[in-house]
Formats: sequence, structure tokens, C-alpha cells
Amino acid sequence: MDLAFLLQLIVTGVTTGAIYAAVAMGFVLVFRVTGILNFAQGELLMVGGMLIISFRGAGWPLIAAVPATIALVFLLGCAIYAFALGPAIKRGTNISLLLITLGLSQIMQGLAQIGWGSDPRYTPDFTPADRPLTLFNVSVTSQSIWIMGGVIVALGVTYVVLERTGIGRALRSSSIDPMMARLSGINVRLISLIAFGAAGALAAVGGLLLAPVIGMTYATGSLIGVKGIAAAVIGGFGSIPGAIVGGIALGLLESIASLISTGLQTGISLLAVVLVLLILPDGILGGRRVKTAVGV
Amino acid sequence: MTEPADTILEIDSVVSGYGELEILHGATLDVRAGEIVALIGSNGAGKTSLMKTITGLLKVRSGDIRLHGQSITGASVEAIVRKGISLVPEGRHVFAGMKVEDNLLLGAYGLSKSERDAKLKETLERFPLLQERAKQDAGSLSGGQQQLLVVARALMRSPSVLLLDEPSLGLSPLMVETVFEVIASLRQSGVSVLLVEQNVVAGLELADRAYVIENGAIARSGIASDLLADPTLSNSFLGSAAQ
Repeated sequence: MDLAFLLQLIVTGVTTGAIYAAVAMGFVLVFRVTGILNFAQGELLMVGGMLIISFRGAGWPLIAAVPATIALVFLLGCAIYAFALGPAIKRGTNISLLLITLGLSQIMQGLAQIGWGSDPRYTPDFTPADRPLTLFNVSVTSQSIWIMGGVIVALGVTYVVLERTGIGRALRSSSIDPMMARLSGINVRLISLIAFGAAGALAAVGGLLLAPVIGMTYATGSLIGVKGIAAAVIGGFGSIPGAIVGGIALGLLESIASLISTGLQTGISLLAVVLVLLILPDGILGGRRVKTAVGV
Repeated sequence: MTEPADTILEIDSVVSGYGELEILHGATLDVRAGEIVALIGSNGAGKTSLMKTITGLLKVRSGDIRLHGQSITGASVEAIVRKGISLVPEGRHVFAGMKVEDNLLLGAYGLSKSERDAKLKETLERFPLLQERAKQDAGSLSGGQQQLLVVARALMRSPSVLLLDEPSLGLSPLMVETVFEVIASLRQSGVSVLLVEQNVVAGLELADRAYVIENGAIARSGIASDLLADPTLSNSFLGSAAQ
């Protein structure tokens, strides 16, 4: 295997992994603050993809379509908490909350099928080019650069918000000790709503960046959702840096698995996840036990 | 009943509990401006439940709680905290994984940036031990330092009333002394304190007045030094230390 081929595999893996990292980060944010594993996270990505395709199809420029997509999926994330999970969180068990998110994912798929049809939908690359860029004999498509750059910006913004702002401190404190967060004057339910919205925004970024690369269908989100969970688990469930590491690791695993069989790519990479977890049960960066806002 | 004019916090015939279990059966007490009030009682008497009820963590089933004469019964925990009641619960509830400075800023959550920054500066000057460790992970502090941090965080909002639940539990004698010095200094800063303290003698020595809670209701009350000298109380709560 020559170096250029290896670099090509890495570029492909990191590009795919960046999308998984964005989805995984959304899972982790919501789980840390609310204790809920939101199986509809992948569908939020799908909605993000469908919206950007629709907006661009209607002639909107990127500068308007991107923020509109992120804002709408942010609101959709908030709505999921406000109308479905928020009211159930105090009385619901972990299993019932999980089932609600599974139900929501099916409802969102159904509505997407009604609204956008069953056929794959496409949109052009953000900056169409006749040929990919070639660096060190490695070809990189312009959309790959958009994906890596976009996810880096999204994760960077998330990091700055979490580390440097009052809302970020409130989010982190609510995930560490929700009772003490309330005793500090923080409205933990409002913070949970924001966590769902932020997870929606991260999924939207993944979806809108991915849309030009694949044919987006109503079912696209479910597989990517599973991979987002897998990425979060590999990194160490509950760990925010772990979500990024896990996403990239899963992308690279898939890229390597494609050498064996593109058809079995997903199966092989998920099998590798099982093997990673057998060796490192808490994931690469170690998971953490999470006190949740449920019932406080 | 008409309360003295300087009464800050009034607990009036409060009933509360967990689920179907009623713990407080009509507890009544008050805390006045700038005084330290000790709440003593055996395990399970209802001390912690009363603290949780005042802050809204437990629902008031009947009775009323008033702060500055205004009812806060039924208000959310966040609203009660913002109105001026801060609780330091039992155990050292720092936000581990976050810096000492961030822990303190959370105590002033919701205030304007200039107010937060001013309070942070003032608090770090007041607690030099925390100033030295401002950038350190709160989880890496010793038990005593964590307790100081939790008390300092509760003071960030300049509360009218500070509720302290077992602040010296599990601390070294030296750190107990430091924590008690901080509590005593609150009297000068005009903060009223309701104190639950497992070291009853130390708690009564620190307090101006005290209430004895038994089976979820106030059984006795009086000047702390009088209760400390009372032989009947000594037999019940103070043990050989006071005899």
C-alpha cells in the first residue's frame, strides 16, 4: 500500500468521521444534560439535509439556506423536548423515554416521506468544481473540505459556548449535578431544552454538509444515527472530546473496511466497534456516569 | 401572629414530605436579620427536609414560607434562589470537572456580567485559598477546600438567608475552624444563617438562637447559650461533651 493511497483512505475516513462526530456530539450533549438517548438524532440530520436541498432548490443562496436550516432544526430539537420528552421526563422511565425517541424517529421518517417523497434527493456541491483538488497525490473534493471545515467550525463554536459562556457553564453544571445547578438559580428544564436545540443544530450541520455527497432520503438518518451512537460509544459515552475522537475513529474504520468490501463496510466497522469495546469497555477516552435532570 | 419587624424568613406551620411519607408536621420558625439560628435534632427529625422545603426541593403541602414578608410557597427552586435564599446542602457539591472560578460564577448565574465579575473579584479576595486555586479543577480540591468553595459559591448571589446543612461534616478540625470562622463573619455582612450542624455544641456556640426539631415539628426554641446550658437538652443531644 503506497503512502498516497493510505492518505486517501485517511482523508475519506476523516470526512465521513466528521459527520459522525457532529451527530455523536449531539447525542452526548443531550444525554449528559437529560440522561436521554435520543434515537431521533439521526432524523434531525436527515431533516437538515432535506431542508438545505429544498432551500437551494428554491433558489436560496447558501448564505441564507445554511442559517435557515440550522435555525429550523434547532427549533425542531427544542420542540421535541418541549412537546414530547419534557412532559414525559418526570414520570417516564428510561425505557419509556427511549421508546418515545424511537417513535419520534419513525414519525419524522414518515412525515419526511410524505413531504419529500421516497426517491433520493440531490443538491449540487457548495462550490462545484470540475475536478477534485490534488494534494500530495491525494484527491480531495471541494465538498470534503466543506465538510471538514464546517464540522470543525461547528464543534469549535460548541466548545467556546460550553467553556466560555454562562449558558455553557449552566449546561455543564446541569450535567454534573442537576440538583446543585437548580440551587444555583439555573432553570434545568430550560437548559435541557437548549441542549436538545443545540443537538438539533449540530445534526443540521452534519445533514446540510452531507446532502451534496449522497442521495438524501427519508431513511438516511436512521443508519447515520446508529453510527453516531457507535461513535459516541467508541469515544466513551458521555465524553464530549470522546464524541469527536469516536466519530473520526469510526470514519477511519469504515474507510479501511471499504478495502475488504464496500457492501460489508458498515457491518465490518460496527464489528470493529464491538472489538474496541471488548478491549476498552469505557471507550477510548472513558465514559462517565451521568446524574440526570430526571425527577429533580 | 405578628413577627418582629426585622424577621427575614418565616416558616409557618409547614407540612411536607417525600411521596406518601410526611416528614414535617407543621414546623414553625423564623430567622431575623443578621442572626445565626441553629436547628438541632436527632437523625430523621426533619432538619434536612426542612432545608429542602424552604428551597422548594420538597413541596409545601400546607402552611406558608415567607421571605421579607412575601410568600414564596410553591415557587420554583430557581425562583427561590433568585429571591435570596441559598442552600449549601450536606456533602460537598462542587461541580467537579469545572474550574473553581467557573463554580463561583455559577453562583451568580443570571446576574449581569459586570455584577458577576464584581462578585467574583470580591469573593476571591475574601477567600484567598480559592484565589490561589481559581483556575484549578474544583474536583481536585481537598474536602475542606471544596466545602469552602460551596459556601463561597452560595454567597456569590449575596443572599438574604444562607441555609447550611452539616457544613463541618467530615472535615479536619483545622478546616472546621476555618468554616466556622466564615459562618461567624456572615453576621457582620448582614447575611442571616439557618444552620444544621452535627456538632451540636459547636453549632450552639456559634448561633444566636436555636430551635430543637423532633418528629417533624419544633419542640423547643430559645437563646442558643441558654439551650447549651440546659441539662435536659444535654442529655438528649449534647452527650458527654457538654456535661
